[in-house]
Amino acid sequence: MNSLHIIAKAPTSASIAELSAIVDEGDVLIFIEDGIYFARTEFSPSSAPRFNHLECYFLEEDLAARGIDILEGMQTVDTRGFVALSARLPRSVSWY
Amino acid sequence: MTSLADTPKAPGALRYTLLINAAPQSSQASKSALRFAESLLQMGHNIERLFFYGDGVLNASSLTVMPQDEINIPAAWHALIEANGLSSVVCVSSAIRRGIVDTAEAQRHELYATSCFTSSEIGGLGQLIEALSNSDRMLSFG
Repeated sequence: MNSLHIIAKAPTSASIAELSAIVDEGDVLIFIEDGIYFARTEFSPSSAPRFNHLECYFLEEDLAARGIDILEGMQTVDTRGFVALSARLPRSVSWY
Repeated sequence: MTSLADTPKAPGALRYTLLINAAPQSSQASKSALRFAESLLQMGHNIERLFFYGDGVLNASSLTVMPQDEINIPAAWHALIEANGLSSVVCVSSAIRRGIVDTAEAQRHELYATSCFTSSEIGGLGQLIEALSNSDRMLSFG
């Protein structure tokens, strides 16, 4: 059973390692609040050969609030898209 | 506020319980939860229960005053709950130690004021478990 991982805190080397270890094939990740800063780590689609297979989304409102540009290949959703992801995946895990 | 719950339910409508653990003043989490709740009602889903836990109980404070150019998140929760007839529960042990009391708790502890919006009830973790057993989804906001 796959999960939606909701990442709301800025990345640290420890949280990147934990996330990498726990996320399963078929899981979906959404970065919200300060989790948006994962866009500048290896989870960023432009520099993420290791994570290319993962479906990752960044919340548009929180990207705009932090002045983070959308990079090529980065998928974004608004809050309604966030709700749709939570409906699609049977479970959720909140990282905060 | 118009009732978002009046929106016709989609065939795939799900029941959600939202657990809110953060105070409105200390992080963006309760605002994220509020926006999420508004959107899911607009999309035709249902909210089985809102459960406020830990510092999250401060979202039920009727005594919060914000600067005029900032959103009063507790007041916004109150409006959403009232407009949509939502079930909203505040954890009792988290609440009383943070000064969130309704009339019953104020009388029990001989306090001279109440501070909990009447749209939320003060209750226990059993009500969270009950809500989870009736929900398709549970999301936690910290």
